[in-house]
Amino acid sequence: MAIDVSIRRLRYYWSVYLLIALPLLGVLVFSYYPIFNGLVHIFYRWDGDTIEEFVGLKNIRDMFGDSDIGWSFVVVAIFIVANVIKMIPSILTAVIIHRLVSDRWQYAYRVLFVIPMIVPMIVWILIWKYYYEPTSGFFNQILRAIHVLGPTDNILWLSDKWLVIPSLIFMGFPWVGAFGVLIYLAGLQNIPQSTYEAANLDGAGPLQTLWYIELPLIMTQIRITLVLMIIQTVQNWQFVYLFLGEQAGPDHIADVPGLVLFRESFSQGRMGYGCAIGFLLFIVTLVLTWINNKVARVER
Amino acid sequence: MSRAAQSRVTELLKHSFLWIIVICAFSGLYLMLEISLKDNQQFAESPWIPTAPFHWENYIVGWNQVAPYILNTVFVAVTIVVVTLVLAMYGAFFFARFKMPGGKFIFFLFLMLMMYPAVANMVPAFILIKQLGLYNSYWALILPGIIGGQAFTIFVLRGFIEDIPQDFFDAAEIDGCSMWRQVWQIVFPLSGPIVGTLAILAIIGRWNDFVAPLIYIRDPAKQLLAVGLLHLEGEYTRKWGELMAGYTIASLPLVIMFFFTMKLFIRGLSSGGVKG
Repeated sequence: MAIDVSIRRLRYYWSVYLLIALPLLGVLVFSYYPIFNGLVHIFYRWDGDTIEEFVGLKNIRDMFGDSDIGWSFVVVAIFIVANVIKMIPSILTAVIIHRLVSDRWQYAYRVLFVIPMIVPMIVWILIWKYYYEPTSGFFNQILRAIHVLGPTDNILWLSDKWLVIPSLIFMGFPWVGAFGVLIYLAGLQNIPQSTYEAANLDGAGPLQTLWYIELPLIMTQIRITLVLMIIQTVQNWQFVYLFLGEQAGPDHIADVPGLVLFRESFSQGRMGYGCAIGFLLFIVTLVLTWINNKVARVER
Repeated sequence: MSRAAQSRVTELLKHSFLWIIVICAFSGLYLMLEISLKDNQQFAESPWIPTAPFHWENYIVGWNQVAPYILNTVFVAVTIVVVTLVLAMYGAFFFARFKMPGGKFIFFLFLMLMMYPAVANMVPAFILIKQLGLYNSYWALILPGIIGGQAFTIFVLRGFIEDIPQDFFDAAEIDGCSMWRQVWQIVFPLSGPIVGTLAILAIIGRWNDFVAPLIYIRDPAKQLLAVGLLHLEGEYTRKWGELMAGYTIASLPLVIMFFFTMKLFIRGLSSGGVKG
């Protein structure tokens, strides 16, 4: 039980506030002040330095007329669809690990799947950049070895306009993420053994068990990872930047909103415009969270 | 087919499925290690299998390229994580043990921050750092890093402290133990596993962070690992062996940490990450 301090007793207890003073001060200075400063500058032409001129709603109007922004949300939608499909291998892997008879093997596989996650993300991205490299990269050399490509032919995985997005999506194959696998496993472990026995007695095969027992019972976990993934995908721009740099490939083909924000703010000096894009991303995140809460409540 | 034989076959099928995935998941690491011992000519002739002679000196070159970045990153990451945890522990104690006037509102202030996308705050936060004169210094990484971690860490630790039996604090109170000492002598000693898990997750987060060093650090000598590696990769003539040796060295600290903290790690990822 917490100690309930009324306002009357406050003079004996005021020093309790000192516990939270530093974090609170820090958050006000380093989080809330910039947030409000950003909200104000949505209405300014601003380069963060000498130019600071009130322009009303111009940034917001520009944003809705900006084809880069429009396209960037299309790219996000493509990535979200792809990422939903990329969740399937993790779910299947978790189910199969869970169905193993031996507990020791279950633990061993869990450890094995965590190891790739320990390797820093940046290293994985650089390894995949090597895979996609045109002359000495892994994929093109494999294709040359099996004579799909001639000895001097190259496929430009990351600079051919129509290959850029598929290449980004394919990255990380076989798409088994330790985070997902461990969460699904935690959910699967809550399924009582008797449920499996009952299903078995009724003659349910492995696929039916998956469809009627395991998937419905880990729906909570799947929904959590789905929501996190969608919010992540909307906000993430680092991934595209690391692969393609700030131009996002030929004709900005793989632009995502955060990358447009970064490019406009830091290369073009349009920081007011950047603040407007940031606000739009905040609104999108809010709406997504709200939808999720609605859906989650209805299903319970 | 007998029942036992049948179940042995299904077990075998499960294991083969899992091994195919394991092999695919590790192939990148295999190539990294194997190429790290080649010079460019060996790499051109046979890129996929190890070939003698092994060029261990690639690792010396790789170390010289990567070591400064690693040291910088360790310094920044450890500072951030230690201070974050200490501050958040006292902060969480505030929310867990006292119902102060305004406490709910303050908690709400922290919770709201978890909703606000970091990318939306990137520009004004950058301007603030410039105005404070912290641009191109480690303060620009450390201060926002500590503050950025507060909301989530306080949120997790508050739940943990609420579960500590009341008697502990009552006894301490009777003995005249101040609230500061209660945190230090009751909460800290009990919080080993949860603090360990939070620390590991935070270290990984810092190790992978590349946005803050990209926008706040201009001086190449001060650069952190993620941005440093990206620059190495972008250099004009690539020596693949040295590059891959550098990547290997950059991965090692976390891998070593993992082998010492495997249990904490797996527990943290499977429960703490979601339940909060």
